Amino acid sequence: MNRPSSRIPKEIDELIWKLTEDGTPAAFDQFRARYPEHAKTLASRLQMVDRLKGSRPAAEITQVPKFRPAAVQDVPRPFWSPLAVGMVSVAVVALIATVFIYLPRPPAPKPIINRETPSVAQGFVPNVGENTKKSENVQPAPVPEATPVTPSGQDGGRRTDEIPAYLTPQTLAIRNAKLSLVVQAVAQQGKFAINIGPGLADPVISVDYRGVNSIEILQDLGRQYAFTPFDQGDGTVIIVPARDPNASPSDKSVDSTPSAPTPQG
Amino acid sequence: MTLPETNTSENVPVVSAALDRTKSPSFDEDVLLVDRFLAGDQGAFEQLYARYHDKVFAIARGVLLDQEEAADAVQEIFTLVLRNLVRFDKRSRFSTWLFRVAVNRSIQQARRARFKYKHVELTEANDRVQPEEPEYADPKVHTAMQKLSPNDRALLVLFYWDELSLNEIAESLACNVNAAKTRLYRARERFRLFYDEVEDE
Repeated sequence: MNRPSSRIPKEIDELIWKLTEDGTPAAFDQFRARYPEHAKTLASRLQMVDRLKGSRPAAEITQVPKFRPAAVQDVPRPFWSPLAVGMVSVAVVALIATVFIYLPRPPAPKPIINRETPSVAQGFVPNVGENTKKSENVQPAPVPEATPVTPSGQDGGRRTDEIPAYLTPQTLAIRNAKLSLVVQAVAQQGKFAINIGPGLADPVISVDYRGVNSIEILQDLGRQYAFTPFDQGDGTVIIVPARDPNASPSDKSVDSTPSAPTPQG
Repeated sequence: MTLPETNTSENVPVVSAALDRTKSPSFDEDVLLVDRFLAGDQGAFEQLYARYHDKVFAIARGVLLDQEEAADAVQEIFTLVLRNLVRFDKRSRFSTWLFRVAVNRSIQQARRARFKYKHVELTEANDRVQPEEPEYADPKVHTAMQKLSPNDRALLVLFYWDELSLNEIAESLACNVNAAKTRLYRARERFRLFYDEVEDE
């Protein structure tokens, strides 16, 4: 409906209604000056309200009729009202049932798995280009920080199966075996290949490591028998028969200190 | 709203008038009459009836738009008041309580009448003698009022014909002032639309 009132903003419309209620001539003039485009609407609205007020039925009854109590009947409800109430109730029940049955429920909360790799891995993760470059320059591989590797079951519920084998704490006890065999055994437990450079002394030793990962074992053996393990980044470690000049003795500080290998001759 | 000139000095008489009206003798006298009736004085109720008959009739007629039905409704309204005057707790003015009864009963009657006329058989309707339209000062207004719902008519009647304040209308309709204001605004808008329609015809 294209009425004048439907084209004007609601605020103006309400203002016009307000003016028709208790507006003064000065307020009318002010409105016309401020909103000349709505002056006509104001005029027609005022006329309409005047006619509405003026159409109040005149009191034809000159004398008040005597009060005679009437038989007041309750207004009967329409015949369809109980039906409507019943239908609404059924609809509500159906809606609730539908929502209960078909609405997807939130999945059961999953246990939180912390997949963070322990910080000890930072120093010896394979595929680190920097390590490879250093090996070309015959630089010693970065020694893993002496952060203790928590044994399985003592890490507050962390899953140790996510940790690479070469970082898993292991137990290695060998008596009277050649160093090369011991190194091979360490590599086998750590699940990485090993290449031993020529010239490595191969004494018969006994070792007893508990709760130490393969890398730490190799580094500890290297300090003892003058070799340095280098990670090649492809799952292979090369044993260079030379001592790492940058390795400090403090690198050995591991909580679960391995028992010193015993050279057997 | 800043447009209407509001002068403090002009407001004083208005406020005084409002206070005077609240403390008017008629207000106290209504309560006194109610108390007298409750004490067994039947004449007190006759006085209340005589005092408010015209106003109640105006409400009923404004909502029902029929003089005869309005006259019957007035008798029913005062019968209800007579029965339930014991329940009047005097927290509001007697007139407000009375108007509430009048509005509710008139709206109920109007709905019943509308429902009844909807189900009149066509043949019966043809045979029926058309009741005389009540005399209204403005037929255009009357036509527009006829198109409104009984609720909207009640609001306009209370505001424009009985000149009740929004507070009184809210009490009469058993709602808060804001709700009364909103309902009045909507009723006026609907009236305006119907009024313009009539003008176009």
